[in-house]
Amino acid sequence: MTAQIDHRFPSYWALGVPLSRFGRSVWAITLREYRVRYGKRRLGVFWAFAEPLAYVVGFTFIMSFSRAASPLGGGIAPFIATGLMTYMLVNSTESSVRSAIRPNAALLSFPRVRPIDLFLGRWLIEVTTLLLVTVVLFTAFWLAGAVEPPDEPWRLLLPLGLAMMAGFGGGIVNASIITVFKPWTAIYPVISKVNFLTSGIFFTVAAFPPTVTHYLWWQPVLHLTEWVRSAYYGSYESTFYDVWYPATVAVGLFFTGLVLERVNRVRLMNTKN
Amino acid sequence: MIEFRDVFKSYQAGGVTKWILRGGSFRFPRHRSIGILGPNGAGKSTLIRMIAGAERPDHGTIRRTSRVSWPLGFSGGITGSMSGLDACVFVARLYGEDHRRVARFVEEFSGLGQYFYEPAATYSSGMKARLSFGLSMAIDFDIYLVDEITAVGDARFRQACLEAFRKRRETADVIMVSHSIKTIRDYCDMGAILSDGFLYFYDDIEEAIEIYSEHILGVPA
Repeated sequence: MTAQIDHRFPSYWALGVPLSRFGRSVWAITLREYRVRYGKRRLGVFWAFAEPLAYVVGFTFIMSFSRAASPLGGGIAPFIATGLMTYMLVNSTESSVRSAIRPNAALLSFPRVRPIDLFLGRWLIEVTTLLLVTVVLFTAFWLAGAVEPPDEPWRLLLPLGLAMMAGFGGGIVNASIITVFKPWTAIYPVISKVNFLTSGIFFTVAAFPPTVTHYLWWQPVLHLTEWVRSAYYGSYESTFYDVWYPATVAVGLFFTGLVLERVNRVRLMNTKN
Repeated sequence: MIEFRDVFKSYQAGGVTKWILRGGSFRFPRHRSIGILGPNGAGKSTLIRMIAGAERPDHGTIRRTSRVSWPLGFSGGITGSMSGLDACVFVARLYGEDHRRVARFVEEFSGLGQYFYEPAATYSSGMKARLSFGLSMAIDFDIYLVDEITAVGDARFRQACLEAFRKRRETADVIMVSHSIKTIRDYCDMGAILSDGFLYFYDDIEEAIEIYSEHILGVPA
């Protein structure tokens, strides 16, 4: 008797099976991460509001001494929040995606789990949480009479989407850099601070002379905040922001991240920093 | 089905390159239970881990269209922060199974009691192995990978393991590595010998054992 070797290769499955496995893996990871992050603390998802609220309240308090009102009308808190939430969609997403591997390294020993699943799971949690926080925050501002609802809501979609893409790609890019260049863990926080201060959370570009804005033009997040504010405030239309520059950076980061996850997968799986 | 295409794998040991596979292209036939024999250091465990997908080849591709288990008894996938229940829910979702059924089965099978709801960081290695074994029995795998059957727990639990594994083997195949020729004979009907970077298949397990004993161990079976 010869071995019964199965020569029929189920080619019609070739795409469907990996896709559904990929989906299941991302789903399992995402629900697992939700549970780790919000399921085990008493106040759960409340903590998601803590960080943005602390910033908004803190800086509103400080700025209410230095400046009487928001440069764009309405309360100072919603002005800060438009910038802050845009910034956080980039930055919090980036740091959440960047640190996805280490706490979940053991899960990678299930052959079905790949680094991209961990990155995607973290990304999903971060953006859904941030979007929920944003909606709740601005509804509260509106009810409190501090701000009108967005003037052109559909115009918010593109800059917010680009912010999420940049955060996703940036997180993988940084995680990959760290696997080959450890000092990056100390260098990146400095870049991140500069990013925080220049991203337009506390100012509009109009407040600066052209010599300064000339340099600020290279800050892609600032383009996104100006874009978001132009869409949100009916009375404001920034002449500073460009669509193509931040879009190129965000899409570039996104695809660079996807490529790095493929070529650097083995190193990423051994992340133990 | 598991298919290796042009797979190369080697490792460095004391400045010498040891080959596990030098360009292996083969398919593991379905509906057979295959025992892999080979001298110490031939790379049998690495081969099992490559079949599982836990280790990547240096070159070439491995395709799996069947549901292949992780090596039996391996519990490295369960993180300390997960409870037994969390692990069941996670793995069930990963393999698209009903997580309530999986959790019910594993809770009863593993006999962890209250520990089932505690983080795995509080488990002894034996408890972790029981959880992991129960999990691999609860998921409907097509092919079970076994890297040495290691006994965990007391005699009664071992008996339960063997019983569960026997039931699974009615519908699932086994690919097994063991030093014990007796174990291989008990579980497998087909053999393969891994030696010096090549994997040779033998349709009859007795033939494989004979060749392995004579040519590699140097003692007639």
